[in-house]
Amino acid sequence: MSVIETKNLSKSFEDVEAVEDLDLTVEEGQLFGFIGPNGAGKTTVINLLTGQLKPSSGDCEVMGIDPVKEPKEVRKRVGILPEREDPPSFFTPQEYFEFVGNIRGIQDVDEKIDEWSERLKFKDKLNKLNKDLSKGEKQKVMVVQAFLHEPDLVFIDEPLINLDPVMQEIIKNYLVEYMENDKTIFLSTHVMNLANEVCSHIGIIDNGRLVKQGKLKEIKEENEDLTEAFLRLVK
Amino acid sequence: MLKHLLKEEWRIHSSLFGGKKFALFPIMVFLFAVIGFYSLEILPITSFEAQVGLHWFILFFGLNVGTIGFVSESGMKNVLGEINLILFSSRTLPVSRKNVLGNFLLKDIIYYFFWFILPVVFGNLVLTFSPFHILSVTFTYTLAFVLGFLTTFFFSTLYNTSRSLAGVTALILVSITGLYVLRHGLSVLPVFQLWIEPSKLNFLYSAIPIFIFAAVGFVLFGRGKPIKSRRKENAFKDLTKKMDALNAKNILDLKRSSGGIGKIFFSYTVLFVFVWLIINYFPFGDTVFRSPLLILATLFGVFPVSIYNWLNRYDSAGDYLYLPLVKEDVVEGKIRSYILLGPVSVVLVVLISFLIFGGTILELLHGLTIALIISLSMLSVVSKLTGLRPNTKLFNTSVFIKFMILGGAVISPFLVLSIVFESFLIWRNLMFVALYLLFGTINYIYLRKILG
Repeated sequence: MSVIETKNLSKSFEDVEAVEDLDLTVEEGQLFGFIGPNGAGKTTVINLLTGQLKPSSGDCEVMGIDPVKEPKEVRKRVGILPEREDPPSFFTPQEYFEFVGNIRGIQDVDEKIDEWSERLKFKDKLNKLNKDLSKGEKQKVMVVQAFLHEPDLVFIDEPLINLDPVMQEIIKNYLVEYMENDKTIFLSTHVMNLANEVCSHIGIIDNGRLVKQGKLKEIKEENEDLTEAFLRLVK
Repeated sequence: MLKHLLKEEWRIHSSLFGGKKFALFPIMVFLFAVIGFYSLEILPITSFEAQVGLHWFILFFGLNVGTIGFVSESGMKNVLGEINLILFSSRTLPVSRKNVLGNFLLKDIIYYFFWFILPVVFGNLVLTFSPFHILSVTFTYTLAFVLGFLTTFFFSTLYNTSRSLAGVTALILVSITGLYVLRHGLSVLPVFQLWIEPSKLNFLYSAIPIFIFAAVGFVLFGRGKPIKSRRKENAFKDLTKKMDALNAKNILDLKRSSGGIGKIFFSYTVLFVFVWLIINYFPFGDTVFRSPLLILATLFGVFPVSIYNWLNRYDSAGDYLYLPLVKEDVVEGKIRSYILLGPVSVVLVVLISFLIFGGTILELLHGLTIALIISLSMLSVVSKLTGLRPNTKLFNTSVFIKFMILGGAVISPFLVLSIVFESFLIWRNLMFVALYLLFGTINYIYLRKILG
């Protein structure tokens, strides 16, 4: 069953065509790596799929819901880890997770906070103001908020940014584990190693156009790694 | 550096307000100045008194500009989005922080000279074409602005070095200035004295505080202790027992950001002092203000606009879009927080005024109702016109003009009625009631639509 479906999806900003006629299908249970060079349109696609932006033309459905008509409903059902957002400055992580739990209607939020602070090793930071956290710690907080309600579909944009190698490994393992529980992850990145290690499927976007989509193995030619395949397709 | 800083300031404004709309701002200032100077003919104010007021006003404007210039980097990010300014370039380039800072301060003085001071100077042409007058007001207005601007700079650096020292210094300075003004009147302001009587001595009196504030500010700049990582008790949980989550977040933002809830009291105190000075030191105060309490209540009703500005300083709609929230939800949260804080604060200010200025119980009841109705009306106006961006949109010329027109439409009938108020005339009381019903209904319809 497809959880993301787009047809001729386009978005332009004044004279810039950020996304052009995008036909994309992501099936349930995939860890879909959406890769492309800087400025290729990856973040714009996430923003369109989660109703943060309205398309110029074309259609899209996320878990059977139109994000243009029902952006709130889509965002209720999915988790989103934005690339550039920090947690609110004057909350502590503990308060912020409670805030997210309140907005999302999560019942057992305290248990989940315990579980996550254990997993990402920041129990001692739970009562510090977010504004005083390091960039890596802020990123951990943002990762947690995206997964806190255990959504069936999560959009994550450059999840490993600012994280140390130990933490990167923990997150990577968690992503694979999450997918194995029949959940879907839409991972936007330009870090080829990450995509190569964890993704089951890949979509490559360049200049707003989808240049290739398929299983990880299908994207690569014989004796080729993902970086080489990417460079061949994107040129 | 200076050239690039000026270019940066121009681009920040043009990107904030869309296109070059903000370039109209000086024209609007000029028009307001012209209208103001023309109206001297019909108002019982002499041009001497107008110039006193104007020098003080420009000094207050300088204080305000200084506040904007020195909000924290994260505060700036919330207003301007993800940006990096030349101000922070000493982190990556071989240039000292003080060098960048000096240029930054100079840039603000030059920028606001053309953006604000010069249009007011040109407004003086309504009074006279005398080159001496124009040159002298140009000089003294600029000094008044620089004094205000550098006062904020001085206090921001002092605050970063020692909060208690900054508090004590502020208290001493405000007390000395207050006592001096009480004893000698508003015209005691040194830059104004320089305008009245250009002499070396008056120039020294004007320049010395500017020099001291600049020098001490420069010495103290960068000497602040690094901010410790702060731990906080969980306040969110308790707050959400009494209010919704967005509302609780707004209250925590206000409470935990620099200055805490105290910054609202500070804004109110500045406005209160300003209104009090007008009432006490302008002769029309005695003749026009038959019921000072009602006039004050009308003006105080506008004060909570500053609360709406504070509420919107620490986030933007984009900060919530990864959650199941839309912009309207966030606006609703801000409005709920305003309703929680604004009306209570105006009731308090009106009660204080009642104690200071006196009045009948009927006047007090009218005063409270007027302040409440106007505070809600201003909420409707400012939220409708600016949404979640009052801190930037009110500097957009067309939005500001709409704000003035709509705000004026609310305030004017109350002001007029307050001026002609006689408690024993029933029809005037009834007219107040009619205004309450009219604006109460409009606010009810608008706010109900938003709050559901």
